[in-house]
Amino acid sequence: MTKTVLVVGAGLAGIQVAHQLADLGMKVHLVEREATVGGLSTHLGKVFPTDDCALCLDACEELHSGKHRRCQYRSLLGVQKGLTLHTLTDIKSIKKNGGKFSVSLRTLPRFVSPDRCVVCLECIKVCDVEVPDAMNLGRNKRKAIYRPIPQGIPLIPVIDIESCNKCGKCVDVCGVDAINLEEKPKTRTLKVDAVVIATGVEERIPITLPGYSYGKCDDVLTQRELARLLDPAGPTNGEVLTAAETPVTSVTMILCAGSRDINAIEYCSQACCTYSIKHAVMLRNLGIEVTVCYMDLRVPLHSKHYLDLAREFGVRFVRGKPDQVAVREGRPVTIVEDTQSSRRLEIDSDIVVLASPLEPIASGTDHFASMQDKHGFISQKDSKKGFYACGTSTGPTDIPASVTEANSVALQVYMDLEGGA
Amino acid sequence: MKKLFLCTCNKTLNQTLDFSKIEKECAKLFDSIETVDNLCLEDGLAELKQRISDDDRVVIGACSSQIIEIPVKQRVKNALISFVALREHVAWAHPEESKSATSKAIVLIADAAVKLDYMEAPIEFADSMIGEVLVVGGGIAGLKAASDLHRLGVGVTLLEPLGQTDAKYLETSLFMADSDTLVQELKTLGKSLSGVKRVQGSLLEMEGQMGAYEVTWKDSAEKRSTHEFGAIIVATGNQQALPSIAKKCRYGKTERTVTLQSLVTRPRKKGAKEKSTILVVTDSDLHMNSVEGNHLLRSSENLANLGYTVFVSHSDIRTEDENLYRKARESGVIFIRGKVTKVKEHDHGLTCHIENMLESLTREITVDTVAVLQMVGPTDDTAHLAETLGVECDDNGFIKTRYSKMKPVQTSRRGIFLAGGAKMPMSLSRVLISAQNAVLEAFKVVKSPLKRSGWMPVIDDERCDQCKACVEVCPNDALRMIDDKVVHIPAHCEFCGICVSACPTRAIEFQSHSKESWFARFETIAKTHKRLERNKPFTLVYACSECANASIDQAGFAGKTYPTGSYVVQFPCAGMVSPIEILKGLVVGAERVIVAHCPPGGCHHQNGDHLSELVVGLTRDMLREIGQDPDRVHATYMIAATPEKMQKEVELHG
Repeated sequence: MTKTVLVVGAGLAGIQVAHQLADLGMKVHLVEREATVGGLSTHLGKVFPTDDCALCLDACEELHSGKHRRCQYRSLLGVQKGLTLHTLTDIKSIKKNGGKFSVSLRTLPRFVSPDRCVVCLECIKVCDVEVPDAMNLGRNKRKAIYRPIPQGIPLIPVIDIESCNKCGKCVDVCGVDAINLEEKPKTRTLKVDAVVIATGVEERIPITLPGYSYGKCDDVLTQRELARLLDPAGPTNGEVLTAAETPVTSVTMILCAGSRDINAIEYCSQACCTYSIKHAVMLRNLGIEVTVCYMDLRVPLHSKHYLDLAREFGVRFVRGKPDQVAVREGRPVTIVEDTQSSRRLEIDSDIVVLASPLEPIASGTDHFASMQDKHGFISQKDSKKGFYACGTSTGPTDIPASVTEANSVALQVYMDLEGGA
Repeated sequence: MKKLFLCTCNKTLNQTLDFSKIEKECAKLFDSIETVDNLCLEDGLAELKQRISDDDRVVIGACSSQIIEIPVKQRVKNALISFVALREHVAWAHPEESKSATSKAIVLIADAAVKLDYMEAPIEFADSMIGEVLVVGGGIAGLKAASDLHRLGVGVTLLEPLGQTDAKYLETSLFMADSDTLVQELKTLGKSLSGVKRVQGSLLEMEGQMGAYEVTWKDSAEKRSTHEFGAIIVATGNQQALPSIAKKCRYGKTERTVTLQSLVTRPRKKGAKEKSTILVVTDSDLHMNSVEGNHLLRSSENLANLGYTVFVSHSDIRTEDENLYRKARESGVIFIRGKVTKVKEHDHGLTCHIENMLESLTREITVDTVAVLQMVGPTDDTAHLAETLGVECDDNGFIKTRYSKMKPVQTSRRGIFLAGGAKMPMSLSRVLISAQNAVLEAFKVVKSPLKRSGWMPVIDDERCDQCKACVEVCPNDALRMIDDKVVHIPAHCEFCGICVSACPTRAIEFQSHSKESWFARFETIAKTHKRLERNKPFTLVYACSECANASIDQAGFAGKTYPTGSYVVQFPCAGMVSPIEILKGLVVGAERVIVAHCPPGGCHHQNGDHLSELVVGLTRDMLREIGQDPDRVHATYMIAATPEKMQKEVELHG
């Protein structure tokens, strides 16, 4: 009998493991809490080490005739044989039932039917409700019916029912009756043979570090937020602007902002040095001055070219962890001791960008709690039979390592369920 | 019958496009034209299936082929279909220009109709795969790969270096993890390998292709033998080498300078406390990777715990595990930032100068022993092995992966995979993960016959002058010279068409994409454009079907509008475009020709981005030579993450 696997989280690792398991002939349920797949990668635009799209996926076997990888919107995700995608879905409970698991899922209403919607986007045009777009620092407005990112899977819009005033205009304009404002949450139960945890990480909101003035000064951002500003499809069309919408001419970056610190987060988030320096290079290309305050520059070998470029393009490196970001006349001023010259510097810049640590996303259930380490990452050594984990849910890492781990877990699941002694 | 199906996308595209005009203008080109509102919905697709019979040729004008092609092809299997992205490339890209957007739609449909005239059914082929896998071992990844393949029931041979022993595995892997963990892992793997065929020998030759590689090796008794494998995993592991700073530290000249590893593994009396001082030296001119960093921290802590006073001179220390850093500090290791510039030996030790360039400060310390951190590199025979297997190496001498982000174990050659340290230095857990990844890919190759379908290159032996340009340029080793004839190997072909542009005599044509077909299509575009838009200049965009096409789709999705008079012609890969197609584009009247490819180094077929830049450069030179404006031809990359690229290019050059 065909074995069934539940994959929790449709970020890059979750999608990869799901594709591979489906290719190996298994039945896969891929569960995603958000309205579209992709997880953290959807925020990033261009990613290291290849400087191309974050939304690039390994091609699955059905597409494999000479194809190697595909954009999300043209991958078979959602229609691949054997793979069912559940978005806006959380796990309510997981019960062990003999050798199997009984999983109860709760799906929030999207209010737009995937079987009916043709993605003509008329509904978005007629919607009168505009709210600040949280994904983009609230710097642009989105409608109550919206698509979180241009190429997110599924392509159809979703209604943010909290903001919706139920005026019914979208329902009227929809010629295919795809919208139902009265849609209710659904629950369903699945029987699965294995569970793969790929819940991923999110960037910590640095309000826990009052010294860095995040939240106090609108020009103190995180690296994820900077990525949104640098994205040509982002809120500023790729222009880096201050909160007051003036062009930025100088940027100070603080690496390890709240990590590698016994008083905050102890671990190293692995990927932030590289993406910060990737951003520094992108900023230099726009003619913006960049200062990077760091403790160690932990750029892996596969991305060393970013470091070389940053040095070549004149990014200024200061070794030292800033004590404080002061706000003077509304401008952020970074106060740091340069440990290599033992001088105290006060760096005035248009914006300050914090490389905030990557934290595991709470799964919304405590089913995995016994497998987590003290930081909330899934620890391999504590994993229980039938449970697997991959990607950043096992610890912060970059895309190449996530993909490798997802592939290896796919094989492990296959061996345990289908083959081999 | 030739049929046209148009979709209004829920009566929204007709806000911009005049469908009745499209129908009228295209009437002569098709036997039947039908406009529907919701082609992508279940009823629309069901109706489409009913209306199309196997021998029809069909143009579908709807949303992007990338979206509509999937459900359509799932239902309509045999008919030849050409897609026009009326939504993303026309209506959404030119919402304010109703009249010329309609003209553009007509031009693109006319082009698609001609494309159909040249379209052949893709060739389906199957190839049996030999169910055996060869693991070229030497590293721990090889043991893991062989063990997992064996567990999967796949026939596996583990070819190990001559003289390989368990002790050698341990010795060459000590940088990966603490020794207890390593010993335990080696023990487990050793047990799981019972029943696996293990041979010691050295690889001599390889021939054949994915599914049927013929590998010859010489075993410990100097006996040559040849064996067949469906796939190969390279897991040769690592070797440690001394950095150039070792010489400055008087390595080899004094017994006081040793390698860090030899110091750690030196036999000791149990419980005895060491009293002497050690300076651990790292070479700050080298980019330390995290495995070396882990090894440095683990070893330093280890020595400090034995009672030594340990100094570490360093620049950036990379580690995957912050605890290692902390533990080293806590055990008393003293970190000094700077570079060792001078070491002087005298009776009671070595005096070392550690210079910190930024501080312009030099510290001087005297220690009993200097321990040099070795670099982890590929094994000595890697370059030779890579040459034998026909795969590439990177700048650091490791075997190169096909695409560093998403293809962690694939090499430039199909059916040959990488595991563990042969790719780059890795910690033990990453080595095991990487080995499993390679097993997965090898398993997928050998578990069932290869089934593919696609258009193939067709080689005209009469015209071919055996210059081997195609053989050399093919990124996937799908063309080979056998007995003075170029032979195509479908199992390796990715249908990119790069061979076509490389051939100086055009002895290779790609099915459905012949020179005649491009000529006819460009002429149709020009003729139709002139009929509808008179003297308005137009631009041809030759877009690769991967990144560039996606970027242009995304321009539509993201509302990055651009002027009409820009016609996108999809090529399987930008590397297929030759100067002939570019010049023909100009000859038929295009103001400009833009060749859009994948990002640098990111071609889905490996080198199309680079080749198309070369071809465009060459064409520009030709134009300059004959007194024409070279800027009429331009190459650029486009990716979905830069949806504004099409807008910028067309506005700038269009």
